[in-house]
Amino acid sequence: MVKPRAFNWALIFGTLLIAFTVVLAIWGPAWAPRDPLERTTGLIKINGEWDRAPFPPGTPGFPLGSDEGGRDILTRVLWAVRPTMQMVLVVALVRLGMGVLIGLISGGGRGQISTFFETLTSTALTVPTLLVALAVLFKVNLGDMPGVYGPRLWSFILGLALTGWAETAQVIREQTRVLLSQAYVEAARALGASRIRTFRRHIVPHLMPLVWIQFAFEVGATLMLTGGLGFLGLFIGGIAPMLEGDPFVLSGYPELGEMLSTTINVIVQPWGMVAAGSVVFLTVLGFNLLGQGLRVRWLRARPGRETVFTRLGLWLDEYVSYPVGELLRGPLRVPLQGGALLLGIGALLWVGNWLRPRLTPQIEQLPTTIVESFIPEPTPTSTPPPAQAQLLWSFEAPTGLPVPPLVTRDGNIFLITHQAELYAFSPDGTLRWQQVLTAPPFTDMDQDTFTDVTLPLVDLGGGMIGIVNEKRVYALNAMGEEVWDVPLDAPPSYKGCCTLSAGALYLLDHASGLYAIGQNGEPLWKYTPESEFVSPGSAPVFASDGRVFFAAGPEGRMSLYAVSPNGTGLWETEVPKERFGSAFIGINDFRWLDLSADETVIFLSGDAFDATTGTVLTFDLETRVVEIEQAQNPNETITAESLGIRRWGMRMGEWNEGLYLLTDPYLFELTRQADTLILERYAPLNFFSFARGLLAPPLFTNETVWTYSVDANDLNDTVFLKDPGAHSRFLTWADLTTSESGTIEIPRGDYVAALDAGTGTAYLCRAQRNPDQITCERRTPWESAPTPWFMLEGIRNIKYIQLDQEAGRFYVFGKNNVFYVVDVGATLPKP
Amino acid sequence: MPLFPAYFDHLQQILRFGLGTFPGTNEAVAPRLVQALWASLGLLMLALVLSLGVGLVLGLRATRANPPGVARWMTLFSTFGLAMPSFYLGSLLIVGGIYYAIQGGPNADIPLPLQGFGWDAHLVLPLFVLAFRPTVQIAQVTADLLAGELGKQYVTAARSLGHTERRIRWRYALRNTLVPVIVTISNAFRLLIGELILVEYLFAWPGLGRLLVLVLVPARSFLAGSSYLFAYPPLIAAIVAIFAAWFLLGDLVAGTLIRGFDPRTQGEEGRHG
Repeated sequence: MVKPRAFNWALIFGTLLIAFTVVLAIWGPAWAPRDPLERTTGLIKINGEWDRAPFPPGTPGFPLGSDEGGRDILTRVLWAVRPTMQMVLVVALVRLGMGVLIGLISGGGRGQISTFFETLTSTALTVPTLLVALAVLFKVNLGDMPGVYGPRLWSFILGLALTGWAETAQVIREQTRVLLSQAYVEAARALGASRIRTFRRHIVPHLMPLVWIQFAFEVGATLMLTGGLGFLGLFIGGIAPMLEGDPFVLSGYPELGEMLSTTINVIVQPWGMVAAGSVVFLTVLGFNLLGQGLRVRWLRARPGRETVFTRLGLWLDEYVSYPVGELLRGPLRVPLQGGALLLGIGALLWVGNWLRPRLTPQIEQLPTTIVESFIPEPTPTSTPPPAQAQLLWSFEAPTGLPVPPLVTRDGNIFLITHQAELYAFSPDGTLRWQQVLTAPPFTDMDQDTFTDVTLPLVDLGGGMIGIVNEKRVYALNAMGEEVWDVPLDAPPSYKGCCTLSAGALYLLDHASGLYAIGQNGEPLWKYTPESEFVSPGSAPVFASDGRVFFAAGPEGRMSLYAVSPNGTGLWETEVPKERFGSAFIGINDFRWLDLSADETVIFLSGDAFDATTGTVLTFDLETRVVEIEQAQNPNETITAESLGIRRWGMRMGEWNEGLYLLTDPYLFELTRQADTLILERYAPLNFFSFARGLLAPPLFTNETVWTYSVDANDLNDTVFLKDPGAHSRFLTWADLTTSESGTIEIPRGDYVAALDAGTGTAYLCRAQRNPDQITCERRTPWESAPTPWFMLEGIRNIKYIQLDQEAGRFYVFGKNNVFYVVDVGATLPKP
Repeated sequence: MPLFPAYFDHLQQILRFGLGTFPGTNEAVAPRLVQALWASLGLLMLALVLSLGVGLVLGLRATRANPPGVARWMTLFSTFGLAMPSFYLGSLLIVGGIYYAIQGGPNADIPLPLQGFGWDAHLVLPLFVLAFRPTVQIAQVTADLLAGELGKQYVTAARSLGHTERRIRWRYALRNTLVPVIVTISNAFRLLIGELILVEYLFAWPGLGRLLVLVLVPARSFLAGSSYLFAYPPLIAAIVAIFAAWFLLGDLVAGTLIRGFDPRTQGEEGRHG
């Protein structure tokens, strides 16, 4: 039993912690050093080192660090407490109200009613509230489509209160029964008090301390549930913000759940999670302590034990409450009740109006910033360039052309329309045959653009083409006749679909099954990883001895698989996500694999693997850093980990000639001289455009590294690969001899671009009306202004363009479903 | 097809456990679901046994006999333990592991696998996080109840009869607290299932809880590239049915045990405790 005079430590500490939270909720935003939405993008110099977000705690200006978007975590926490606590208090009050009401009815009701509510309570107690809340939030707001900015206050109240009242109801029910069996209740009844009067005068007042205790516990429990839901990505006003390249969509004003929702993304830079989680922990602790303290106080309270408070209470009773109560019960009753009702309704409306804008954070889309650009934007030249191009032939498709054409090595051209009609043209434009495919070109919704359509055709050589659809892969000969077909167990994934290597056709399906199909359509083997829900993460790469490597994995956890030439698994290695920090975060789960020239090392994003055993290789580099821009630390040891490497790449595929390490925001070159590795750091690349270009392999010419990205509508050049960010329009380059780097922005409007890595040239074309013509120009990183290339009449508009270097041809797709073949042979620089 | 024949087809399919295939693939749902079920059930049962054992032992140790009461450390432990969100505890453990590895240089290995599935060292962190709060709950309730019992007169009587303290605790006091302890355990079971969702998600444990998150939370499944699982009706139905079966089973077991251990419920029918 408790000592009557002991300090009630729980109450004291609980009150202090809650007071702290309340102060944060009220004055937090006023004290915040910054704006919660203010982002620090690009590079900032910290203690002489260039760094970019997320900044660690202790960075000047960021006492608790920053999140991925460069927003100050201290500020965000100070802002987050208020909306979260408002929501939690509202939910807790609803839960408490329901619980008390139902508890009273089931504890004091008679017969059927009591039984009904008792059953209801025990049913509600059976299911964990988190589960119910998940289901309700799914059903109420999120069932329609992914990406809807979702749960609102009402769905949270519904989800958390639907069964959340049960514990309070149980406690109240038990206590009501205890009180009902007390002698004074029996006495009241014997004196003829009505049931309602008994409850009002004898039960409810005695329940009140318990209600307050329950309220404290309810707030704690609700906050913890809110945190859990936020952690799963469900919070008021949004789904988890993700950094998916571009556009940079972040939900707006901070909320504790929102701050927790990114935990999984940034588990190696967990400052936001630690801050928000600690606030949740301390506040829950505070309310639990308060509940305990109140309970202790309640148990200690003895009738007749006089304190200052009881004396004050008696005085108030005698001189204030009783006379006022008499007055209210008497003459003032009716007008007061009416007034109170009106006031209550008004207050509810007012509270609702006041809460709504505060509880639904605005969604803001923030523009990205371009840090620097060395080369001015191209300006349309006023003088028409000499027309050196000639329109060879064109073809108007009856319906749209969703995918670029397949141009085989022998020059034949295959086009597919939206209606799945396949046209085969010879190089001179004669239609050889046409047929309707059984299935339209397949789409793959896995990418972040919902419109990706991939060409399901592959050049099998010898006049044959392969066609892939949802169910099977089959081959057509030069006459358009089906030669063979192979059924597929799952739809193919265009990530790594259809690679022809050493005469065999390899393709990956949606469940990461890797098929090898022989030259004559005989299924050679199929390899399926044994893990669960594995979706493909890379295109397969091939070693000269026939080994195949590919990456696949569930949910951002990626494994690398090696398959022997006869289709048996050699090894699989999980990509160590922790190793390179944020290198794995925010990018669509599709990677590029590189095999070193001697076929001993595989590079996958930030990691290197031994090709024979699959073990993860770590490089501890004793390096000399040559810093071009800021020669501050000429002798510095850099470990591969400390760079945050985004990608490894090999120049000409050979280790000795140099390994390129693409990091944010630098490009490093690693060369080996005798026994030392030399790491040279080049100019910082334009961060945003570079980040966009990361997924494309850097293409190495003799002098120039190209990383590239173009608009989603633009055509995949044969050499370049499309960036998953849908709206980027930047070409980034770095010159290794002069250490210059820069960006060419493709202007908006009708401009489209094609690139030629061999000569380091970008071709930009633009359509004009009246008269209908296209104007094209050439750009190289070395020239500050574009060179006019050609002008051609008769083409109205352009969707995308494609270069065919060997044939000296230029393919243009009009938006009006017309396909043009242009001869530019004389004007193309030879590779 | 008219409504009723279609509905009966559907029922028949369910009775044959034919849950169809994953959207976009030809892979059957049922085997994967069974795998997930075993993964979850294993974790759940181990956590239940662990929290039961540790909780009871802690609760017994925290009870002072004379004067009867609960040890200070238990109050502290339960206060902090019950306020500690499992995702917070788990995230901190993962972060700790990563920082340990980063501090240790390139060759340092993380002592325990931080994520993933396996009936080996992979179990340690999820089990610890999952069992943490139920353990605290069971320990606290056991200690409270036992302390209450030890102050009663029959204990004094037993003591004066010369029974050992150990015998008093185990034979008399604990037996009288057994029914409320079982109720607490069944509460702990529910708590475990709720936490299971968070823990499986955090530690990438391929069980039903994580599957449920993939199915119900759009942001995550979208990020994960497994958007094809989001809002997939057969999966929702199957998972909800399995969870419901667990709750029913848990309640049934608890009810049966209470009936078995509480002599008052064995006599007359329809008497409320």
